[in-house]
Amino acid sequence: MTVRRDKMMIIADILLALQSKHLKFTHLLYKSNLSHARLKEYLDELMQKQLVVELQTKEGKRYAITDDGAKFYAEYRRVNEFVKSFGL
Amino acid sequence: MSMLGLLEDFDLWAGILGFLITFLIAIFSLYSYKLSKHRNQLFFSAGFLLVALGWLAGVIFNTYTEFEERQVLLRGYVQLPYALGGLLMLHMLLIIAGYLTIFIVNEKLKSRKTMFLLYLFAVFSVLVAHDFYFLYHLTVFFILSLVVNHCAWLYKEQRSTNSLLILLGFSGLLLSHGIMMFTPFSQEFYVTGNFIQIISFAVLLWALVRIYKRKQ
Repeated sequence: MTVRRDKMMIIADILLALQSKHLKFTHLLYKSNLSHARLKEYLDELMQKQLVVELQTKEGKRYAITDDGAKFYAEYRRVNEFVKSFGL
Repeated sequence: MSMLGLLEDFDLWAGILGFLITFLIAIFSLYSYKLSKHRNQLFFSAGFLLVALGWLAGVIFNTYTEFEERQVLLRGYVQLPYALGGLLMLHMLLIIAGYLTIFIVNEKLKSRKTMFLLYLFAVFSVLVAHDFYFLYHLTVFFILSLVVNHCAWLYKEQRSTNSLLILLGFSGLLLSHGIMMFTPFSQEFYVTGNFIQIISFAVLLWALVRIYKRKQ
C-alpha cells in the first residue's frame, strides 16, 4: 500500500533531492514526484523561507539547498526517527 | 549500613530520573508537533508531561517524608498531613492519567465517551489507592501492559534498535510496578522495583540519545 505524503514529507523529499547536487526544475520534478504547479508552489515557499535558493548558471536555472535547508532537513530526520520509534 | 539502607533512596533517584526522561520525551514530542502539526504528537507530549509532573510530585513527596514513613504508608492506610496526602494523590493521578493518555494516542482512540470513562476510572482508582496503595501499582501495571503490547507490535514491524530499546524500557517499567505491588509483604519488593525503574528509565534515555545523535 502506498502512503499518502503529507506536506512535511514532500518538503523533506525535495530537500533530500537537493542535498547531493544542484538540480534543474525538471530533474527535481522527477525526484519529488510532483506536478509542475505543485512543485512550483513548494519551491516558492521554500525559497521564501530561505531553505532553497535559485541559482543562475551557464546551463540555466538550478536549485540548491541552503545551510538553513540542510539544518532543517537534519532536524526533520531526527524528529521522523523519534516519531517512527514511538509509533506516532 | 545495611544493603537495604544504601538502597533506600532509590525511590527518590527513580523519581528524579523519571521526571527528567519523561519531560525530555514530552519536549521532543512537542517539538515534532511544531514541525509536523500532527495532533497525536501534541497529545503524546501532553501524556508524557503529565507523567513528568507526576514524578515531580512524587519527588517532592519523597523529599518531605522519611523512608520508614513511606514503608508504613505502602503497607496500608496511614493518615497523612493534608499537604502530603494531596501531593501523593496528585502523584498517582498524574502518572495514571499520563500513561492513559499515551495508551489513548497509541491505540488512536477517537471516542470521547470511552476516553471519559477511562479518565473516570483513573480518578476512582486514585481515590481507592489512597487507602490501598498497591492498587495504584496494579492500575499502572494494567495500563503499561497495554502500552508494552503496542511497543512489542512496533518492534515486530520495524526490528530497529530504537524500537527495541523503547520496548525494553517500558517492559522494565511494567515489571517494576508488578514487583512493587507486593511491597505490603516485604520492603525488598519496593527497593527492587525502584532499582528496575531506574534501569528502565536509563534504557529509555539511551533510546532518546540514539535518536538525537542520529547520523544524518
